[in-house]
Amino acid sequence: MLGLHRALFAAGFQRQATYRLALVSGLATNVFFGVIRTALFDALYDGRADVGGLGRSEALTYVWVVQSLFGIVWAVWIWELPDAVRSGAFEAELTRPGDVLGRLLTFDLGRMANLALVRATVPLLGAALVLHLTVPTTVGGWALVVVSVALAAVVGFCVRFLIGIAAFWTPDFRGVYSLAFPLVWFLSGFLIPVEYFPGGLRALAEWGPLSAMLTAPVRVVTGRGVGGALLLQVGWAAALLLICRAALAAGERRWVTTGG
Amino acid sequence: MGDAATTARLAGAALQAKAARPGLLAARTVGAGALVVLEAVGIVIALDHFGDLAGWEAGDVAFLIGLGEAGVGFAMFFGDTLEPPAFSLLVREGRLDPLLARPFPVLLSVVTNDVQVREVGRGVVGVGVVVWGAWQAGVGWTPDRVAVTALALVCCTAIVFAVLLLGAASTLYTVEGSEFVNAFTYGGAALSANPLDVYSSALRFVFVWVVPFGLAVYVPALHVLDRDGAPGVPASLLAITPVATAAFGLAAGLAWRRGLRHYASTGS
Repeated sequence: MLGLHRALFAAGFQRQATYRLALVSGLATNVFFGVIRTALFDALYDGRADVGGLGRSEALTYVWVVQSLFGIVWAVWIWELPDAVRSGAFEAELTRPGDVLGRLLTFDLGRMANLALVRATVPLLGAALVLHLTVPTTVGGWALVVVSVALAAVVGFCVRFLIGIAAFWTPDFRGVYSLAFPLVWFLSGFLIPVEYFPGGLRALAEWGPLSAMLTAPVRVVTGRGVGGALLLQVGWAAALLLICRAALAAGERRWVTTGG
Repeated sequence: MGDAATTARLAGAALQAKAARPGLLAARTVGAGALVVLEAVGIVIALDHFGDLAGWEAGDVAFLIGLGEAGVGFAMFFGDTLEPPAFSLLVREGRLDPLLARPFPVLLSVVTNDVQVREVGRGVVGVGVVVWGAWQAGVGWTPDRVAVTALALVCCTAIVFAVLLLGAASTLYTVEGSEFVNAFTYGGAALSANPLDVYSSALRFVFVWVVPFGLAVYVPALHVLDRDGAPGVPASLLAITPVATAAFGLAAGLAWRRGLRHYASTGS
């Protein structure tokens, strides 16, 4: 069983390694947006020390961690699962050995690990060299960052899976994505740090499942409430995996392949 | 005249195809508009803490956001097919070749191949954010200001479209599309969303004189909002805005024609 998952992880890693031009242009895009957003936050913090618990250095760290991670947790291959469901190709998944969800997750984690290795580290380390960022100074601190990014990847997989799985019920699954994306984008803290949100909205964004995608990793990197952030991620990852399992079971019952 | 009629008919057919799935169309239009609203909400929330961004208040910044997003929305209505992944697929699947054989401009064939009605959601909501921002900033709408705002919308749309065209022209050489073009289309709106005052002089120079989003969004905004520009970008540059937009569009058009000639000459 472990051998199967190791092979799947490696296969996912390999698969993603083939997209070299996409990697380079994705990196350049992240850096471009990082530069623009650095200018924005730098100007905002002009003459101000602390807003919502974030100082200038934490805010700039937020900018680069988010730029580095978003392409991983919100992976570009989001359409592969729903397209496979609609075309019927997903049937092959159901006949393969092992647990379907576990296999999909492991393969996806392999792909995300490949992205994380280059696409996440290069911009973040580059920015840390040029700007004054708040990052861990110990090996243990960075180890926790790796754990947090892995948990964010699991949650990212679950969120994409739950959106994609709408394809079992409707051919208009892209509409589900269009409506879900703005919420994910905003509540995950991609646009502005959730620490700036007012009262109730802040609580929702800080404790809700989407916090595990970006907000929690930012906290682990900047060393603010690391233990709580990791616990939250573990909790949501477990809960979302259970929800994914239930949704997949419901989808399979609903599903009839044409000519299957 | 014949070309215009054909374009309208082709676009009409593409529209009809979209109307066949009204639920999907509605969801995607609402989603595209929601992104623009949330972007404005984000800056309002942030400026509630910070007060201002380089002297610009929430309404002023919303005005910039609205202009940039409206430009992207209107340009994407036709230009979506030119986006790197879509256009790359068009080339790789050989669907471009029959368009070359039509007795009709290739670009018109390509852009009417598919239209993105949902992007109108982004455009219309963008205009709404412009109006809201101006209201917050206490702008009195004179014919003058309306004209300058309209000029900004037209120029921003044209520049986004020209960037897409440049990207498509490069895809005619590389075949594989590059996501980096996105940095200058969506990125164009993103960089215009900030007053140019926040950028270093080097970035300001690029955003005004190389990819002239600054001239299309920031400079007109200075006029409407009655503000002084950042160093090197005075409000008086407004006279250059249409000229620079036309020059940028012309450059993109020439690149596209070169690209087409190159593509045809590969004998593929």
